Amino acid sequence: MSDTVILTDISKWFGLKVAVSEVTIGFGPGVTGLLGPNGAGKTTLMRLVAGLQRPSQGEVRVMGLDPRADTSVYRMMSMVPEEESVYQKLSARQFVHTMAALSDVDDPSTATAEAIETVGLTSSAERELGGFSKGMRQRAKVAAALVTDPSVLILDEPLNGADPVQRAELIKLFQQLGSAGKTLIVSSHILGEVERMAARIVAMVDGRLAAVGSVATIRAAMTDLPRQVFIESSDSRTLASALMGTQGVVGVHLQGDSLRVEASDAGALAMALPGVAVEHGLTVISVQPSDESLESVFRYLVGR
Amino acid sequence: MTTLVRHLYRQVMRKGRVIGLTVLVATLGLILWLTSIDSNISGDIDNFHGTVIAGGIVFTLALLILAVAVLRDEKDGGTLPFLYMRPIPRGQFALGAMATGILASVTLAVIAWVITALGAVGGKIPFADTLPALALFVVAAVGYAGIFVPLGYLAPRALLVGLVYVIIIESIMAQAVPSFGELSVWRISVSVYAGLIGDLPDWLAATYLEPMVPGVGGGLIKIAIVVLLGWGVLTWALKERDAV
Repeated sequence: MSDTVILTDISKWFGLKVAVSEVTIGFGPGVTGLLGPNGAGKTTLMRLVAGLQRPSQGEVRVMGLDPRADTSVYRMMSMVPEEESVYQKLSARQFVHTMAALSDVDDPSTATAEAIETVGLTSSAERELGGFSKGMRQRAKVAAALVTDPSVLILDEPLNGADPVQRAELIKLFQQLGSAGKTLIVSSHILGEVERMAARIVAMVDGRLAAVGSVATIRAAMTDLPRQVFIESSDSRTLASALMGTQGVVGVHLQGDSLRVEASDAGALAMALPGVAVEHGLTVISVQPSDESLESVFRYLVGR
Repeated sequence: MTTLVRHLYRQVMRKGRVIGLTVLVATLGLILWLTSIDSNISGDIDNFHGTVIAGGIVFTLALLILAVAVLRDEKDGGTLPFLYMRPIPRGQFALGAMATGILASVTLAVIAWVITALGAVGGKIPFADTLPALALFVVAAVGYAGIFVPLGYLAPRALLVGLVYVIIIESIMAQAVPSFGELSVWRISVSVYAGLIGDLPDWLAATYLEPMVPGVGGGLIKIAIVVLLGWGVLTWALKERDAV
């Protein structure tokens, strides 16, 4: 499917500080996870997409429109900002209803009730936002974003402050929205959650794109970094010496009762391992890749 | 736009702020009432003119606090994205913000006038003579809203910048340099007041009116121009400047 959000050669600088540098990328329907360490430029990138900040260079298009020039784009795009700020004295219902009315939503009362129901706040809808927990405020903000039924949803750390049950529910909601054909750009510093909800990852480091794709694709593209594989066997020392000369193996380390094997070609290792084991009369108990997770990939990308 | 104005008005006219500003603008009424204890001043209409015009700085400061808050509160509080990301053309958004600033400022003007009139009547000034003060406060409220609402959006330290503007430009420079005096919202408002009462004491005219001349129509046109310019600047800022 074609991209609904397109950034072309986007840069944003504040004085001498470059927050986003020459980013060209598209976002299509589904959930895209935006990752990066603090100061990587994630929030600035999201604000540029949302039209809250003007690019110093480059072009942003959302559903073909420039969000800085055409406010009608906000009929199709919503954002949940990272800031905790809400209108303390408004109830959740008043808040969401105001956002619906400001967006000229047909029947704002019904839309408000539906959005509040979607995020599970119906029983607390009449309470003032100032008395809400952080997680409940986040859900109210998500409801305010959903009340316009947007095609593009930008979520900057939407799970902040939510308890585990709320997190699971929000992740499920985002997945459903993504499956329904909406474009979701979600940033989160909790990598496990991003991995669960986003099929596509965009990693940023120092204002630049570091990687784009699925976790497996990104990891596979890191050809200069050997794969780490833990192997448990009946005799790790024998297996270690047997693997030393195997094609694709660049390092073998004994770690307790198991081996940590560094392989430049994990496929070749997988093919060779059964033969080596049989040849030396060994039993392989388990084979576990240790750096296939998003966390490992992310650590590689940011150099930590 | 009605929803935007209603929302912004509700946010800016918070109970605590309104009470604080009411106490501030009550100073004028209190001065009028206290000075009337002196039998030489009691019932002196010139004392009334002098108090509302010279004491107007207090009212101006209250307007500053109120009008800059219309958008500055949203910006500093991090809630501006909720309003900015709505399908409202920037010109209309600016119009809504300006209308809110004017509405809130005029509300404060009416409060200030009621308290001032009570103090004046308590000091033996006829009620009818207090009515031009309502015009003075309302005209000033509209004019200052035209400056302070855009200032609140543009300047991170809007209160400080506004304070410098009121004290340095409107008070000191306006008196020292005639061309600054012609741009002073307070002097324009005083020209409307002088036009309504017909006869402003010389010492007040020399200090708070010149180089302006009394006149209601001209004053109102100038205030309308100030508001129009303010709207233009705010529309430009909403379009061109970062919202967060």
